[in-house]
Amino acid sequence: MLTLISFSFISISYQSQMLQSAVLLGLLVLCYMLSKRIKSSRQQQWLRLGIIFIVTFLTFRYLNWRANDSLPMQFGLVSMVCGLLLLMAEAYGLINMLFGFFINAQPFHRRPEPLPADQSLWPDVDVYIPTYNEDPVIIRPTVIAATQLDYPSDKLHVYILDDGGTSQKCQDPDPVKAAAAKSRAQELKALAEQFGATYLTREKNLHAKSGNINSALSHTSGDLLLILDCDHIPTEDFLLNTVGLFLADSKLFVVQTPHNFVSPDPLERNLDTFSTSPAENELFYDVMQPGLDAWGCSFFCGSAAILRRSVIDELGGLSGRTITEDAETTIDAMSLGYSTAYLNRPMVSGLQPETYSGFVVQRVRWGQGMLQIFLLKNPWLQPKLKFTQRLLYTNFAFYWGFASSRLVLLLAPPAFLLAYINLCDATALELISYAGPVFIASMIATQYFYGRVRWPFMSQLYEVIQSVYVSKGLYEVFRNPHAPTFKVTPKGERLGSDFISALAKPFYLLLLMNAAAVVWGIHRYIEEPFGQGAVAFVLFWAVLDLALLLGALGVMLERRQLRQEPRVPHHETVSVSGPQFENVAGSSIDVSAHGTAILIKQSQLAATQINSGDTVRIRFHEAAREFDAIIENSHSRSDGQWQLGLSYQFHDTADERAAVHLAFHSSDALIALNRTRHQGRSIIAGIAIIFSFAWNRGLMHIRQWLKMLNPEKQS
Amino acid sequence: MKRWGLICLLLLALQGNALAANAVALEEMAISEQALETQTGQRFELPLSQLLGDSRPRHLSGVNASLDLSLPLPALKQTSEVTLVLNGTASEVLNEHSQLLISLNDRVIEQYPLNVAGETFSHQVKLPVRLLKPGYNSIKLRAIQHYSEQCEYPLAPQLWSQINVADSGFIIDASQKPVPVLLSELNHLFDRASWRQQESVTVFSAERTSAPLLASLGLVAQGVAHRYDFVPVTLLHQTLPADVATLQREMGSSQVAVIIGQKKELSGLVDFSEYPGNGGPGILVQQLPGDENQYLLALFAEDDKALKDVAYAFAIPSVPWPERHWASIGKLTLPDRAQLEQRFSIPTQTSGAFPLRALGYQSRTLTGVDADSIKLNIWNNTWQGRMQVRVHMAYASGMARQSSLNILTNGVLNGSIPMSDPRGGAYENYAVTIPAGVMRPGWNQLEFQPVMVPQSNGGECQPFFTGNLATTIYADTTVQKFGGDELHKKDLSMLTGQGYLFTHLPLGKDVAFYLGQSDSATLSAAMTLTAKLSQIYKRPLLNAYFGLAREKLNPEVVQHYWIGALNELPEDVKAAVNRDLPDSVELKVPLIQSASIRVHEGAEWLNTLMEKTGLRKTPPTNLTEATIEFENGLNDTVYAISTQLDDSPDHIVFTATDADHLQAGMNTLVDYSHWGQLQGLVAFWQPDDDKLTSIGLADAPFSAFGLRGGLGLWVSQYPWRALVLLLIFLGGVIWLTRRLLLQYRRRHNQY
Repeated sequence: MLTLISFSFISISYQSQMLQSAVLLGLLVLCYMLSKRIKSSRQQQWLRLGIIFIVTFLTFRYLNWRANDSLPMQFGLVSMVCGLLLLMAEAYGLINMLFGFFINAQPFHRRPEPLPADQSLWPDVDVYIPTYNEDPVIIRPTVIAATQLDYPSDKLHVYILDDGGTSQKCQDPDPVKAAAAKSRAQELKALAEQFGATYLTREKNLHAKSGNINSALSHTSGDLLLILDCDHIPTEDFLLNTVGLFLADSKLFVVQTPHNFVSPDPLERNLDTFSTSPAENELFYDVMQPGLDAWGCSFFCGSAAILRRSVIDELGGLSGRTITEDAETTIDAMSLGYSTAYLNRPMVSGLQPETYSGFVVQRVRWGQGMLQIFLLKNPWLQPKLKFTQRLLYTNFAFYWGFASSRLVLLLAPPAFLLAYINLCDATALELISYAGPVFIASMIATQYFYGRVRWPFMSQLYEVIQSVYVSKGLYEVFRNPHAPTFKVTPKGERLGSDFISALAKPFYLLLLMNAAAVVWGIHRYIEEPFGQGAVAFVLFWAVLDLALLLGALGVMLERRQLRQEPRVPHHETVSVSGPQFENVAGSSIDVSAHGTAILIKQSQLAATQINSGDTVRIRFHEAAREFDAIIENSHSRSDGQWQLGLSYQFHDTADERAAVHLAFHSSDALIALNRTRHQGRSIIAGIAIIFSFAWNRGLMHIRQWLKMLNPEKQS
Repeated sequence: MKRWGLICLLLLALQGNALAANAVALEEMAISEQALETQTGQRFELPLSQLLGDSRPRHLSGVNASLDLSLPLPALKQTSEVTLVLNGTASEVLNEHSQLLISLNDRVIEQYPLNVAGETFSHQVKLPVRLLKPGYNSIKLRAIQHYSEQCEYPLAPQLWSQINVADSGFIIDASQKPVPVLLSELNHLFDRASWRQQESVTVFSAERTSAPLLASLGLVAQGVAHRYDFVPVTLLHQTLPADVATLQREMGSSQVAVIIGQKKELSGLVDFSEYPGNGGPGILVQQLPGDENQYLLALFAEDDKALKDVAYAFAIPSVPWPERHWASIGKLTLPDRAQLEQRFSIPTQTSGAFPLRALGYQSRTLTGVDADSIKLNIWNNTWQGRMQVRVHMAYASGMARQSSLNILTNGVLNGSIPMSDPRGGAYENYAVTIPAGVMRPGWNQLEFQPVMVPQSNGGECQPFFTGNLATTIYADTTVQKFGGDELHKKDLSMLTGQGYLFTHLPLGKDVAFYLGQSDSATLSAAMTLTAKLSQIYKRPLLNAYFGLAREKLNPEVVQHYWIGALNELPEDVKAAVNRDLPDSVELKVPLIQSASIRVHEGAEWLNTLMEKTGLRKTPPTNLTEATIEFENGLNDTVYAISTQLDDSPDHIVFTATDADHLQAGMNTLVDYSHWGQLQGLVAFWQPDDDKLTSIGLADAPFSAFGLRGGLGLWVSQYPWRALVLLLIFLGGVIWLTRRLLLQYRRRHNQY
């Protein structure tokens, strides 16, 4: 390895550099193409390592050139400082990529361990559903699904941990709030009673989620704890797939499973990519966590995980010094010598935050929490951790530096093109020789490792929308590591109409600077024939940043949303009978805990026969379930079918359980659903998509903003 | 018209003849430094080369050019006539509007036409004596030159005239002028506005060799030297005579004598009648009886210890002495050492950085189109190490965008600082890196070359203004040397003040002057050397050791100067110099220096880091020397030798076969021409001989072998072979990683 690093530090002619780069890029493409055809895991491992080391070599060469040959050290202090900042931002990105390579060098795809036939040997499981202020409508299906888990009923105990119904909340000085808390608590108590769960609350809201769970520990005694966020509806096979791992490994502390979402995040919703693009979190849960698992470093992510109670007791409860109690508890358990496992099988259906602001609250909390862990529980100082665990816990904090790095990269083109600050002392030939290959190589490597779960340039878009606020959040932690407090991610919000997020303002400034940089850059390209190469390079960069910023503004133009419950695709033959028709055949599109959407050919049903508010009887043939339902809405589709939205009318608890079972019982259905979204895009297509976001949604945002500035015209 | 033309031609011819005749007459008049007796006093001839430092002709170019001269006028001289003899040449295309203006202290005193049709010109300018003042007088030669009455190019190459410095100078008739015998006028007795190439002061002291008395003599030497500033001065030590007549005789031509001793020892020589009866240590000045032009400065006390305090007071040139002929010194307190060390720290030891101020450079403003470069000699005790110059500078507004300040090392351009903002500007730390390889071991010349271009060239009657072409380079501009290997012998050139003298401790605490013995000749040589070095250091060396070599060496001392006849030097010093002097002398003559250079394959920051942390050391330089032994006939020779003793490289030995030769040799050495020739590891010369011979590293060519970026060159030359090699490496790394990963998986049961 040292030889390779030394080789990358040699200064050579541009011709040789270009030859080396061209051949290595050729090999890289070959590895990438072969990886699509080869199925053998042995051969895949060769290709994987080939890609890793080729890109690593090119990256080292680039960083060496940047650090030694292209820093603008002779153009004054401002140029030197800005040049160093840019180098740091670039180096950050490349080092982060190398961390990614390390994690993904040998991902471990763990399989479930079978449970013993003798059920008396199965451990008792407590299911904790902590809630704070969420609508009981969101909690209801989660509680129902939890009580329907495939597990001996005497060994399964479901608890609603209500932090919204604490004595503190119910005795709030504001009578309206107190009444609302009491009413909500009553509703949850009734829910628990109805479905065989237990309602728990406490006196005061101390230490947020970790405090809530720790409080519940004194009331329960199960061997294992399944933690579910209140919007995470589990599939019935959850425990069957995970509990066996604890029986196989007595030192196992936690089995984490993917957070699987069945609603779009703000980017997916506002850019309308939910049905086609992979979910944002899949990069982490589908690619990174298996990699971390291989290095013994997967970690508890707060929900959809099952934990060993004895370890929690040994730790004295979940850790609470930071606002990411999950990762913090994991490092504490690792320090006691316990291990972790990750089972890559989606077994919950959850909700993403609906709005950009909700998304930001969630990401800032994660970033701040990880940095807090690094500062307050420095992995290099914790006992008993393996080197890889220390290294990767460092990476968890390091990763969040992407926000500041992205900001620097957004500010760099305006600094060069507008302020004439020389950021990189290089010619066009040098840029082509060194920067070009590493740019292409990193794109190919990204496609190889993450292309299935992330479209090209979507990561950059996610980074842009988080850059400003995550940077600010991290700065606060650096100033005072104890300052951040736990902020609950808002979920299940209803958006009555389109509106511009209040958090968009800093991006207007960034957009303005980049737009001006593009205009002035074109002027400079024409007027400065001596520097055309460098100007053209930065101009290309500025245009890309401009597209990303416009795309980001597209995300910040919030679209109207009325539905809030988890809804999963479900394709099954149905027959419907109504007041004016009998046993009309159709097919379902999706189902939820409270309703379904179905298609019926227009040839089978006249428009006059469909009336909103009519009660119908729907039968799912394969599931052998029948429900009474009300027609909520209907519309004619271009393919000659009616699409009907039906809302179930439950007559008893069994009906409601059946609806939850129908929608969420099977993890196989969730896997199949995710697979439909694992359609990668080429790099060119990725660029085109980003520009299309910029052109459509970005410009729409600007038009909306201009209307807001000129209310008369709007009226 | 024709008749007028003929008359003009005739007049021109007559004028030309007259000028030519003058020139011949002046050429016959040799300009010399020698003072001649005249009817009214003495005649002194002061060549311009003495004032300007060399005899290069001075070129006055462009439409408006000038040469500044500074004429010294000693306070002890009364001038009766001063004539400036100017010889020069002017371009033959200069028209009748061209003139040479001569001004004295800003008053124009003479003007001459410069349209001499390409002939030489010669002028004798009588300077109005009433305009002269004691000290320095400013004389400006300003050439206003035109070749056309129409539009002309102000920087046209044909606009020139030349002053022949070697043939020009001042002829001064002057007589002695008594000055008030007051301590406040002390500086007039040791006047830097001197016409001599070298001044001389006699110092009388008792024959005792107590340490405080010897130290006092060293301090007296410094006091005299600082007052003379840059004028070379020789100090002649004599034992206290019994009477004034003897003293006067032993003073010779010296105008001033310093006598130092206990009060009782001086009672026969000094008139203490006006000195207070209870007065303790003090200082007193008086005229010598019978000669109002000779002065006696007495430093006295009850004992030698107190005498040293008086010497300290005298060594500090800025002490405000009272307007009396005596001063009684009650108490002198020097700053304590801890306080001094706090205030006096030079970071060279840790960072290798020093300001240009440490080279004696003072902030300078360079002006005009043809502004001179600033050239500084920097001693490089390393090879392969790179250097960085962080320039602090300001430049005036109104210059063209092409203006720049170029940084050159040994004539090689290493960086160019733009002065391109028409509004002017300043840089505080503009860094220019001098790469490894450009610096050579030994002396290196760092040059700041201003290229100041006016906004228009003035052609075609464009406005032309050069008045604001100005750049200031501040003395806090920093030079820093990185890495490299130290050469372990210091060069004698360090004494010339060209390089940084590396004194770290306050007030010369780390400097010592060791005397072979305490006879007058050795003392004279040592005092003369001390005086010279304190002038070179440009700061007081009050804490320097000055005494006999038999004293125990102070471990804090890092610069050792040994002065003495060879046989009087300690054995180890003698051995380090040359044991067989004067019968034979063995000289080591450097032939070549060589070094194998470690190849830095890029990653300069990494290599620098490794060098700084000591993880990587550069191999030492190899010096190949021939040895030659000369026998007999070396008795008259005086040596200055840089050597190493007890692993300390800073020992410089001044020696000769006997003390008298050493004294005479030292007197010769300290003058302008000899001192400037000091270089190398060994220098030798004979008293009163113009030539000084040096042998040193600087004479030996330096060869460094190694190919910078060798592997990189190979890769560049054989890209395909390198590629194959790279792929083999890559394949190896992949294979190895895969095996390690498989082992890891097996160990962790990951199937």
